[in-house]
Amino acid sequence: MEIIQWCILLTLVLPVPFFLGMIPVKYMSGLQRTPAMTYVCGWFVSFFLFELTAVPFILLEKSFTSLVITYTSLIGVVLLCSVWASRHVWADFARNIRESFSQPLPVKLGWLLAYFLIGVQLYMALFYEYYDGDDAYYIATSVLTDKFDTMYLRDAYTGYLYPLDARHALSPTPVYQAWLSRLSGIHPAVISHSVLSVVWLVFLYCIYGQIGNRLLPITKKTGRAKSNFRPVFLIFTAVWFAFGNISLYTSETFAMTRTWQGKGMMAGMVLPALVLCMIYLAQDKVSPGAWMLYECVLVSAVFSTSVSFMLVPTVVGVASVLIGIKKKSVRAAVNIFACCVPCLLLAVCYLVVK
Amino acid sequence: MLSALKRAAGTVLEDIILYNNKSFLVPLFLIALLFLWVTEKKKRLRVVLVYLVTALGVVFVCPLYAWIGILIDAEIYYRVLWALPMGIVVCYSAVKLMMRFQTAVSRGLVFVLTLLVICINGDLVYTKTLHFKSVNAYHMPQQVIDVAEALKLDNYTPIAVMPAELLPFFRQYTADVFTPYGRNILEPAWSFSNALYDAMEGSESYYDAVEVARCAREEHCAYVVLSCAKQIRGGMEEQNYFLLDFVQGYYIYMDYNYYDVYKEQGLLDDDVIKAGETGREGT
Repeated sequence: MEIIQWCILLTLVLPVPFFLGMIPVKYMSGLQRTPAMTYVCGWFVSFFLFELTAVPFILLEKSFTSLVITYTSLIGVVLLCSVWASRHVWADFARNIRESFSQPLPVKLGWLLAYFLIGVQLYMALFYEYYDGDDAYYIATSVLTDKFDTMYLRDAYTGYLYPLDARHALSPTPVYQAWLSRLSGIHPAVISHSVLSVVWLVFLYCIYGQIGNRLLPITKKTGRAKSNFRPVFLIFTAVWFAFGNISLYTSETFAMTRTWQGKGMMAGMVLPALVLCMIYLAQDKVSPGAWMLYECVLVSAVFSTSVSFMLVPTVVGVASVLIGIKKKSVRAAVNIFACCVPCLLLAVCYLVVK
Repeated sequence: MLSALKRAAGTVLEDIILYNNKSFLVPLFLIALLFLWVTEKKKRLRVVLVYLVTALGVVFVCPLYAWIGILIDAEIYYRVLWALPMGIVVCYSAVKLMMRFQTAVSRGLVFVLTLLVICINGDLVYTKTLHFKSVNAYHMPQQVIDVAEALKLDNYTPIAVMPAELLPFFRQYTADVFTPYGRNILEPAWSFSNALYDAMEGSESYYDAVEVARCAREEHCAYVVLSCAKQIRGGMEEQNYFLLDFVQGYYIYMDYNYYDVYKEQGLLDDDVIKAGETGREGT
């Protein structure tokens, strides 16, 4: 029985996000069609769909079970569409993977070192525990949600009934973890501390890998071998994260010690993904897939933490002006900012219910 | 208004100092940003990594923006700094610096120097004392799990009070038991107070059984969990409690008042009834 539960959970956090990412990736350029990019897109599609599905259920004080049924059905339908969409993508995956094997030895060694450093961090996340007081709220909320079939209607610290916790209700990361728990039957604390802490670190490095791909194209100068500095970027990033614990407040500290919490997600995954999207959007030609990813990332920011209500419009507002100036196009600026509208609507919702 | 803006500017400065915490990483980010200002030629990267990052930095330290942010939530204003991609800027600058050199030796030297600068000025996350080898997949102390299992009833959700050290973890494990207060009471900044908490934690060396029992009844607690590291003055049995179990250094007492009601309603598990009846025979 336990094996079946683990199989379900691992399916929900590995292949399901991977296939969900097929739709945006299908509309990206051939170079962007990598398995890592697909996995990144898939997680953001999951969060996007969950946020838009869960918030009405939470605010209307519906049961958790009704949310589970609705979201699972929705994911099922999108998954079918994604599997159908994936038939265009596999050939590009195969080409990109083949190319990664035909790299010079120093590059291969660089990748090995990068994977080793990341592997050590995954090992630490799996076998070491980090005491964080906020888990007493977040994981307890997941446990309460699953047990009492209500969302944000009970005090996480006591279990007693209380009015809707509007401050946290619009960023339902714990409810998402309760969904994983309900479907797999595995305890939310195990899911957060032993599964998501590892899987979301992989997700984090996949994002940084994509950023490295955009920043450092593989170049070939006459008379020299192809130069590929992407593994070096990933090595620096892995070391930067491991040694970024200079204070309790840094994004690196949150990403490494609270990977499974919404705040850790915002610091480690959502904001770097937003930078990645901005790099795409600053290009002269933007693929529809990049727009899809951008929209999903913006809504995922709200999904992860309520800080995004202030942070996301600011970042997007400044970026839209700068990219608009770069492209000499008001329309480009308006398009970039318009994607922020769902976040602004949720921000209004937050202020109303708060 | 002017004084509010001054205060906001002071708070931002304080946040940046706390964020950096005497390390060199934030100055390193500024140096890397300056490097990109000078060297980055690709327009699309320049817009995002140079202009956007600089503009965001200016916005975040702007007293008016900070004043609004602090008005919304002063405690978490520092999180706006997360939007500055410090890691990306530093790592990318270091790679760019490497790429400026042509020989493998010079590139290797830059590579090693970069790693050294990050390692020496940073702080390894795993050396902090809050990291432990985990003893279970839940990543929480085993005694919390054992105590929680001992308190659970198949047909009812009872209320239990327990020592402060169990509070941060207990509700992460189970929602099958209510608690009169949780980890929130341990945060002095949140200013929660509770007479039962004072009775439980008032002394570091003993429990006053009379006071604990009185307060626990006021909070409708069926169970009282006491640590064996402290003496129990007066004895819980004298307060009409019985010892249900002794788990991982914790005495679990049940109030006979609740025991009788739950038993009558058929809510108790067999092992609880057995312990209750044995306790009654003993007295």
